[in-house]
Amino acid sequence: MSVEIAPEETVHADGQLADAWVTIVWNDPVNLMSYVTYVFRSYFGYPQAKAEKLMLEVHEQGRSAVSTGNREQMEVDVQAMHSFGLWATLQRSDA
Amino acid sequence: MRAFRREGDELVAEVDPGEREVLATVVADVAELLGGGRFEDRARDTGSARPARAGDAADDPAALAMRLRLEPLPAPDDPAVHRLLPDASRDDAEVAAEFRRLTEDDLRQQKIDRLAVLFDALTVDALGHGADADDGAGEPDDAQPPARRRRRSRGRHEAVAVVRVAKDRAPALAATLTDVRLVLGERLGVTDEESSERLEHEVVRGRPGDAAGQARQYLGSVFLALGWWQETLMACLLADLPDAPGRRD
Repeated sequence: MSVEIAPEETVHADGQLADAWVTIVWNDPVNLMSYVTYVFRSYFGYPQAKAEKLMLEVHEQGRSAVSTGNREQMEVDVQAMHSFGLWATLQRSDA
Repeated sequence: MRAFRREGDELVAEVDPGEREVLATVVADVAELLGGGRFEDRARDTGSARPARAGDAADDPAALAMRLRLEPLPAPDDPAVHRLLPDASRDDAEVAAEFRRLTEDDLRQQKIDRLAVLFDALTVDALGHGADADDGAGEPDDAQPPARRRRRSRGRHEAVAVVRVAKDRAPALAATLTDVRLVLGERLGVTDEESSERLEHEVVRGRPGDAAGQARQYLGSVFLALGWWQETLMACLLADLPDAPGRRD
Protein backbone atom coordinates (compact mmCIF):
# COMPACT_ATOMS: atom_id res chain seq x y z
CA MET A 1 0.00 0.00 0.00
CA SER A 2 2.69 2.40 0.93
CA VAL A 3 4.24 1.91 -2.50
CA GLU A 4 1.11 3.37 -4.06
CA ILE A 5 0.84 6.30 -1.69
CA ALA A 6 4.44 7.41 -1.89
CA PRO A 7 4.44 8.52 -5.56
CA GLU A 8 1.29 10.57 -4.99
CA GLU A 9 2.92 12.36 -2.11
CA THR A 10 6.00 13.05 -4.19
CA VAL A 11 3.92 14.53 -6.99
CA HIS A 12 2.07 16.64 -4.49
CA ALA A 13 5.29 17.81 -2.89
CA ASP A 14 6.77 18.66 -6.29
CA GLY A 15 3.63 20.57 -7.20
CA GLN A 16 3.96 22.64 -4.04
CA LEU A 17 7.59 23.33 -4.73
CA ALA A 18 7.02 24.38 -8.34
CA ASP A 19 4.30 26.75 -7.17
CA ALA A 20 6.31 28.47 -4.44
CA TRP A 21 6.44 32.24 -4.88
CA VAL A 22 7.71 35.03 -2.70
CA THR A 23 6.82 38.70 -2.17
CA ILE A 24 9.81 41.07 -2.06
CA VAL A 25 9.59 44.60 -0.64
CA TRP A 26 12.21 47.06 -1.96
CA ASN A 27 13.78 49.96 -0.15
CA ASP A 28 12.89 53.54 -0.99
CA PRO A 29 14.10 56.75 0.65
CA VAL A 30 10.60 58.18 1.22
CA ASN A 31 8.74 55.59 3.26
CA LEU A 32 9.04 55.99 7.02
CA MET A 33 10.53 53.13 9.00
CA SER A 34 7.63 53.36 11.43
CA TYR A 35 5.14 53.11 8.56
CA VAL A 36 6.82 50.09 6.96
CA THR A 37 6.86 48.36 10.36
CA TYR A 38 3.20 49.21 10.83
CA VAL A 39 2.28 47.76 7.43
CA PHE A 40 4.13 44.50 8.16
CA ARG A 41 2.43 44.23 11.54
CA SER A 42 -1.09 45.22 10.54
CA TYR A 43 -1.31 43.52 7.13
CA PHE A 44 0.68 40.33 7.71
CA GLY A 45 -0.05 40.17 11.43
CA TYR A 46 3.66 39.78 12.24
CA PRO A 47 4.78 40.47 15.82
CA GLN A 48 6.76 43.66 16.44
CA ALA A 49 10.16 41.91 16.48
CA LYS A 50 9.64 40.17 13.13
CA ALA A 51 8.11 43.26 11.49
CA GLU A 52 11.06 45.36 12.64
CA LYS A 53 13.58 42.77 11.43
CA LEU A 54 12.00 42.72 7.96
CA MET A 55 11.81 46.51 7.89
CA LEU A 56 15.51 46.78 8.75
CA GLU A 57 16.35 44.25 6.04
CA VAL A 58 14.53 46.45 3.53
CA HIS A 59 16.24 49.55 4.85
CA GLU A 60 19.78 48.17 5.14
CA GLN A 61 19.95 45.46 2.48
CA GLY A 62 17.64 47.12 -0.01
CA ARG A 63 15.08 44.32 -0.05
CA SER A 64 13.37 41.71 2.04
CA ALA A 65 11.24 38.65 1.33
CA VAL A 66 8.15 39.33 3.41
CA SER A 67 5.79 36.49 2.50
CA THR A 68 5.66 33.20 0.63
CA GLY A 69 2.87 31.22 -0.98
CA ASN A 70 1.47 30.40 -4.41
CA ARG A 71 1.39 32.96 -7.20
CA GLU A 72 -2.19 34.06 -6.58
CA GLN A 73 -1.52 34.64 -2.88
CA MET A 74 1.59 36.65 -3.68
CA GLU A 75 -0.34 38.75 -6.19
CA VAL A 76 -2.76 39.61 -3.42
CA ASP A 77 0.12 40.56 -1.09
CA VAL A 78 1.89 42.62 -3.75
CA GLN A 79 -1.31 44.47 -4.57
CA ALA A 80 -1.79 45.22 -0.86
CA MET A 81 1.79 46.52 -0.60
CA HIS A 82 1.25 48.77 -3.64
CA SER A 83 -1.92 50.03 -2.04
CA PHE A 84 0.13 50.94 1.05
CA GLY A 85 2.67 52.72 -1.17
CA LEU A 86 5.43 50.13 -0.71
CA TRP A 87 7.15 48.87 -3.82
CA ALA A 88 6.78 45.10 -3.88
CA THR A 89 7.40 42.45 -6.52
CA LEU A 90 6.66 38.76 -6.77
CA GLN A 91 8.92 36.02 -8.05
CA ARG A 92 9.44 32.30 -7.86
CA SER A 93 11.06 31.56 -4.53
CA ASP A 94 14.01 29.82 -6.19
CA ALA A 95 14.55 32.68 -8.68
CA MET B 1 0.28 71.64 11.73
CA ARG B 2 -0.02 69.86 15.05
CA ALA B 3 0.81 66.26 15.95
CA PHE B 4 -1.95 63.65 15.79
CA ARG B 5 -3.33 62.53 19.15
CA ARG B 6 -5.88 60.01 20.33
CA GLU B 7 -9.31 61.30 21.34
CA GLY B 8 -11.55 58.36 22.11
CA ASP B 9 -12.07 56.47 18.88
CA GLU B 10 -10.61 59.20 16.74
CA LEU B 11 -7.22 60.56 15.82
CA VAL B 12 -7.17 64.33 15.81
CA ALA B 13 -4.80 67.03 14.58
CA GLU B 14 -5.13 70.74 13.96
CA VAL B 15 -3.95 72.28 10.71
CA ASP B 16 -3.46 76.02 10.26
CA PRO B 17 -5.35 77.83 7.49
CA GLY B 18 -2.34 78.39 5.25
CA GLU B 19 -1.14 74.80 5.60
CA ARG B 20 -4.65 73.55 4.96
CA GLU B 21 -4.80 75.29 1.62
CA VAL B 22 -1.33 74.13 0.59
CA LEU B 23 -2.04 70.52 1.57
CA ALA B 24 -5.43 70.44 -0.13
CA THR B 25 -3.84 71.71 -3.34
CA VAL B 26 -1.05 69.13 -3.25
CA VAL B 27 -3.58 66.36 -2.53
CA ALA B 28 -5.68 67.51 -5.49
CA ASP B 29 -2.57 67.61 -7.69
CA VAL B 30 -1.75 64.00 -6.89
CA ALA B 31 -5.33 62.92 -7.63
CA GLU B 32 -5.16 64.70 -10.97
CA LEU B 33 -1.91 62.92 -11.81
CA LEU B 34 -3.72 59.63 -11.15
CA GLY B 35 -6.53 60.65 -13.50
CA GLY B 36 -9.03 61.70 -10.84
CA GLY B 37 -9.83 65.13 -12.35
CA ARG B 38 -9.73 68.29 -10.24
CA PHE B 39 -11.14 67.80 -6.72
CA GLU B 40 -11.81 71.54 -6.44
CA ASP B 41 -14.28 71.36 -9.35
CA ARG B 42 -16.06 68.35 -7.94
CA ALA B 43 -16.20 69.90 -4.47
CA ARG B 44 -17.64 73.11 -5.88
CA ASP B 45 -20.39 71.23 -7.73
CA THR B 46 -21.38 68.67 -5.12
CA GLY B 47 -19.87 69.88 -1.84
CA SER B 48 -17.46 66.97 -1.73
CA ALA B 49 -14.50 65.68 -3.66
CA ARG B 50 -15.88 62.19 -3.27
CA PRO B 51 -18.13 60.84 -6.03
CA ALA B 52 -21.77 61.86 -5.51
CA ARG B 53 -23.03 58.30 -5.29
CA ALA B 54 -20.79 55.75 -3.71
CA GLY B 55 -21.17 52.37 -5.34
CA ASP B 56 -21.51 53.78 -8.83
CA ALA B 57 -18.38 52.02 -9.89
CA ALA B 58 -19.82 48.67 -8.87
CA ASP B 59 -23.05 49.15 -10.86
CA ASP B 60 -21.74 50.99 -13.88
CA PRO B 61 -21.19 48.50 -16.73
CA ALA B 62 -18.45 50.68 -18.19
CA ALA B 63 -16.60 50.73 -14.88
CA LEU B 64 -17.03 46.98 -14.59
CA ALA B 65 -15.69 46.48 -18.10
CA MET B 66 -12.68 48.58 -17.14
CA ARG B 67 -11.93 46.19 -14.32
CA LEU B 68 -12.21 43.20 -16.61
CA ARG B 69 -9.48 44.51 -18.81
CA LEU B 70 -8.44 42.08 -21.52
CA GLU B 71 -5.70 44.06 -23.24
CA PRO B 72 -2.37 44.75 -21.57
CA LEU B 73 -1.95 48.14 -19.95
CA PRO B 74 1.32 50.03 -20.49
CA ALA B 75 3.20 51.21 -17.39
CA PRO B 76 2.61 54.92 -16.61
CA ASP B 77 4.98 57.37 -18.36
CA ASP B 78 5.17 59.80 -15.44
CA PRO B 79 7.75 58.41 -12.98
CA ALA B 80 5.74 59.70 -10.02
CA VAL B 81 2.62 57.84 -11.16
CA HIS B 82 4.77 54.83 -11.95
CA ARG B 83 6.01 54.91 -8.34
CA LEU B 84 2.40 54.80 -7.08
CA LEU B 85 1.55 52.01 -9.51
CA PRO B 86 4.88 50.15 -9.73
CA ASP B 87 5.85 47.05 -11.68
CA ALA B 88 5.18 43.79 -9.85
CA SER B 89 8.31 42.22 -11.29
CA ARG B 90 11.74 43.60 -12.06
CA ASP B 91 12.81 40.91 -14.49
CA ASP B 92 9.69 39.17 -15.75
CA ALA B 93 7.74 41.40 -18.15
CA GLU B 94 4.93 38.85 -18.45
CA VAL B 95 4.34 38.76 -14.68
CA ALA B 96 4.43 42.57 -14.49
CA ALA B 97 2.05 43.01 -17.43
CA GLU B 98 -0.43 40.44 -16.14
CA PHE B 99 -0.40 42.01 -12.67
CA ARG B 100 -0.91 45.49 -14.08
CA ARG B 101 -3.79 44.36 -16.27
CA LEU B 102 -5.53 42.79 -13.28
CA THR B 103 -4.88 45.37 -10.58
CA GLU B 104 -3.99 48.82 -11.87
CA ASP B 105 -7.51 50.18 -12.38
CA ASP B 106 -8.54 49.17 -8.86
CA LEU B 107 -5.36 50.53 -7.26
CA ARG B 108 -5.67 53.82 -9.12
CA GLN B 109 -9.31 54.24 -8.06
CA GLN B 110 -8.56 53.28 -4.46
CA LYS B 111 -5.80 55.88 -4.25
CA ILE B 112 -8.00 58.58 -5.80
CA ASP B 113 -10.84 57.78 -3.37
CA ARG B 114 -8.50 57.98 -0.37
CA LEU B 115 -7.12 61.31 -1.59
CA ALA B 116 -10.70 62.59 -1.90
CA VAL B 117 -11.37 61.71 1.74
CA LEU B 118 -8.29 63.66 2.85
CA PHE B 119 -9.18 66.57 0.55
CA ASP B 120 -12.63 66.75 2.15
CA ALA B 121 -11.13 66.49 5.64
CA LEU B 122 -8.90 69.47 4.83
CA THR B 123 -11.57 71.58 3.16
CA VAL B 124 -15.24 70.79 3.71
CA ASP B 125 -15.30 68.66 6.84
CA ALA B 126 -12.70 70.52 8.79
CA LEU B 127 -14.62 73.78 8.50
CA GLY B 128 -18.03 72.53 9.49
CA HIS B 129 -19.23 71.09 6.20
CA GLY B 130 -18.72 74.20 4.15
CA ALA B 131 -20.19 76.53 6.76
CA ASP B 132 -18.85 80.05 6.89
CA ALA B 133 -15.70 80.07 8.93
CA ASP B 134 -17.01 82.74 11.30
CA ASP B 135 -20.53 81.60 12.05
CA GLY B 136 -19.90 78.98 14.67
CA ALA B 137 -19.80 80.98 17.88
CA GLY B 138 -22.39 79.89 20.41
CA GLU B 139 -23.33 76.75 18.56
CA PRO B 140 -22.69 73.63 20.60
CA ASP B 141 -20.09 71.36 19.11
CA ASP B 142 -22.42 68.42 19.50
CA ALA B 143 -24.76 69.88 16.93
CA GLN B 144 -22.32 68.88 14.24
CA PRO B 145 -21.09 65.43 13.29
CA PRO B 146 -17.77 64.69 14.98
CA ALA B 147 -15.76 64.85 11.76
CA ARG B 148 -17.10 68.29 10.99
CA ARG B 149 -16.56 70.21 14.15
CA ARG B 150 -14.46 73.27 13.89
CA ARG B 151 -12.29 74.89 16.44
CA ARG B 152 -13.45 78.45 16.81
CA SER B 153 -11.40 80.04 19.53
CA ARG B 154 -9.27 81.77 16.91
CA GLY B 155 -9.86 85.20 15.43
CA ARG B 156 -11.77 85.89 12.25
CA HIS B 157 -10.38 84.33 9.07
CA GLU B 158 -8.13 82.10 11.09
CA ALA B 159 -10.17 78.96 10.94
CA VAL B 160 -7.88 76.28 12.26
CA ALA B 161 -9.03 73.07 10.66
CA VAL B 162 -9.43 70.10 12.95
CA VAL B 163 -8.76 66.94 11.02
CA ARG B 164 -10.59 64.09 12.71
CA VAL B 165 -10.17 60.54 11.55
CA ALA B 166 -11.96 57.50 12.91
CA LYS B 167 -9.35 55.01 14.12
CA ASP B 168 -10.34 52.42 11.53
CA ARG B 169 -9.84 54.94 8.73
CA ALA B 170 -6.46 56.12 9.97
CA PRO B 171 -4.47 53.44 8.08
CA ALA B 172 -6.03 54.73 4.83
CA LEU B 173 -4.95 58.25 5.78
CA ALA B 174 -1.41 57.02 6.46
CA ALA B 175 -1.36 55.33 3.04
CA THR B 176 -2.57 58.52 1.37
CA LEU B 177 0.08 60.63 3.11
CA THR B 178 2.57 58.07 1.80
CA ASP B 179 1.27 58.43 -1.77
CA VAL B 180 1.51 62.23 -1.58
CA ARG B 181 5.03 62.06 -0.15
CA LEU B 182 6.10 59.53 -2.82
CA VAL B 183 4.99 61.94 -5.57
CA LEU B 184 6.68 64.92 -3.91
CA GLY B 185 9.82 62.85 -3.30
CA GLU B 186 9.92 61.82 -6.95
CA ARG B 187 9.50 65.42 -8.13
CA LEU B 188 12.19 66.59 -5.70
CA GLY B 189 14.64 63.93 -6.85
CA VAL B 190 14.71 62.10 -3.53
CA THR B 191 16.17 58.84 -4.80
CA ASP B 192 18.35 57.72 -1.91
CA GLU B 193 19.29 58.58 1.67
CA GLU B 194 21.87 61.07 0.44
CA SER B 195 19.51 63.15 -1.71
CA SER B 196 16.97 62.98 1.10
CA GLU B 197 19.45 64.49 3.56
CA ARG B 198 20.53 67.08 1.01
CA LEU B 199 16.93 68.22 0.59
CA GLU B 200 16.50 68.49 4.34
CA HIS B 201 19.60 70.70 4.59
CA GLU B 202 18.38 72.88 1.77
CA VAL B 203 14.96 73.42 3.33
CA VAL B 204 16.36 74.09 6.79
CA ARG B 205 19.08 76.43 5.54
CA GLY B 206 16.60 78.15 3.28
CA ARG B 207 18.36 80.12 0.56
CA PRO B 208 16.03 79.54 -2.35
CA GLY B 209 17.53 81.93 -4.94
CA ASP B 210 15.71 81.82 -8.29
CA ALA B 211 12.13 80.79 -9.00
CA ALA B 212 13.03 77.13 -9.46
CA GLY B 213 14.86 77.21 -6.15
CA GLN B 214 11.85 78.77 -4.46
CA ALA B 215 9.52 76.12 -5.88
CA ARG B 216 11.89 73.43 -4.66
CA GLN B 217 12.07 75.07 -1.25
CA TYR B 218 8.29 75.21 -1.09
CA LEU B 219 7.67 71.61 -2.16
CA GLY B 220 10.54 70.46 0.02
CA SER B 221 9.03 72.03 3.11
CA VAL B 222 5.65 70.42 2.34
CA PHE B 223 7.41 67.08 1.88
CA LEU B 224 9.21 67.34 5.22
CA ALA B 225 6.14 68.63 7.09
CA LEU B 226 4.05 65.73 5.77
CA GLY B 227 6.75 63.29 6.84
CA TRP B 228 6.67 64.67 10.35
CA TRP B 229 2.87 64.64 10.39
CA GLN B 230 2.72 61.05 9.22
CA GLU B 231 5.30 60.10 11.85
CA THR B 232 2.98 61.40 14.59
CA LEU B 233 0.09 59.46 13.02
CA MET B 234 2.20 56.28 12.97
CA ALA B 235 3.07 56.71 16.66
CA CYS B 236 -0.68 56.65 17.44
CA LEU B 237 -1.35 53.69 15.13
CA LEU B 238 1.59 51.61 16.36
CA ALA B 239 0.67 52.25 19.99
CA ASP B 240 -2.80 50.87 19.26
CA LEU B 241 -1.68 47.57 17.79
CA PRO B 242 -1.87 44.58 20.14
CA ASP B 243 1.46 43.62 21.77
CA ALA B 244 2.98 47.02 21.00
CA PRO B 245 5.91 47.94 23.20
CA GLY B 246 4.68 49.54 26.39
CA ARG B 247 1.29 47.89 26.32
CA ARG B 248 0.64 45.33 28.97
CA ASP B 249 -2.21 43.31 27.48
